[in-house]
Amino acid sequence: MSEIDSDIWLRVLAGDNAAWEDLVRRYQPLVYAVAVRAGLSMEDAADCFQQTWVSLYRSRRRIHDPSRLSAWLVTTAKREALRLRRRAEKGDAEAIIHDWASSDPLPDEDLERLEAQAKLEIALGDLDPRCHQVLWAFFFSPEEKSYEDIARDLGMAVNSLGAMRRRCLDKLKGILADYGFTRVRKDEDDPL
Amino acid sequence: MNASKEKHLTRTELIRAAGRSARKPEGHLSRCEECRQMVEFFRAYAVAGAIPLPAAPAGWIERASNLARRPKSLEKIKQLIAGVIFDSWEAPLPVGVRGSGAMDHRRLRFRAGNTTVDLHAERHGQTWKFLVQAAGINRGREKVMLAVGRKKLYPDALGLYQWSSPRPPIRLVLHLERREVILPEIKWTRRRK
Repeated sequence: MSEIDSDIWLRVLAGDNAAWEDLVRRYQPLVYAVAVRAGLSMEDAADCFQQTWVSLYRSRRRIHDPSRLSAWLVTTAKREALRLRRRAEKGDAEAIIHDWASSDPLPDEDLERLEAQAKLEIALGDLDPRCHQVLWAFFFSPEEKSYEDIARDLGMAVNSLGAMRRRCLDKLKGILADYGFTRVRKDEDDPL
Repeated sequence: MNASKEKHLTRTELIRAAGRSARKPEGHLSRCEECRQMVEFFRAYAVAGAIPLPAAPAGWIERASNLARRPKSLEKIKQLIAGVIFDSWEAPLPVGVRGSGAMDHRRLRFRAGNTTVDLHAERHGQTWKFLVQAAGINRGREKVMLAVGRKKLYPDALGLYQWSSPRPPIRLVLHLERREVILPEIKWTRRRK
């Protein structure tokens, strides 16, 4: 099982470069998702992504509650993305907003969902492969599958699938609880 | 009917049930503990069936990962090439002032994104005096340095860069915290119109 955020964070503060890399790897999909949802050009999305990590690195001594790192990253990425959008809207030729970008690209509700999804994917990644397969098939496969289809795909008896799903869900909940991911928090201006 | 003999709710049905406000469960849900657990889970994590979050491009991840190794060098992530938007030497002049006197001063304006850089040059005998002003930067918040060739200049209290030299500058780069604004090479030989 992977480390919890607070353990990784302590290593980051101690100057452990590998811990910083672990943290970036863990949350990069979340920061990337915020930048992309903001409707930024690729160049500005790259800027938003990098600046979010730069801000975290610079602020590391001031962050006292590492359990809220994901919220901090989301808030910071959003702030950076909105700054870049404002710049683009002023007619900066370097940043072009995609046509599909809405006027309110990052509502808090969507960001909360992204954060919850990122946490869930981190926890799912730490499940044993069998449980990962079962829960993935039930909840996250792009197409909804019947019990019979899932049982056949996984080579299991249909009547044992329900119990397996329950056990795996309990494991997942356990991991989420261990990581302090059980509650989906509301965004705040300065979450840490 | 015994819940264990019934078919469990499908994912769509579970999601629909999770979307409804918490109230007394009905139908299969009222009899099936397992499905109730699923609904509760979907309520907390309303991301079932969502497309997995994609990974950022590998180069971006690498650059962010390397921050802890080389934080200073990696913070500068953008180089902007400025364009000339005004050059007094290129502007037409009235008859009678096209002589060499007009060569003793020059005004140039460059722009890159929101950043505008004004250069004012005047020749006094064998010496050129220069004044540069940059707009569109967060003075006070951003550390700004102007590189004139190998010379490094910092703004005075008014935000102006001033220096003098027997030769006019060719290459100027404005170094900001997050970007570098590179001015195009300046030619100091005037073309006749």
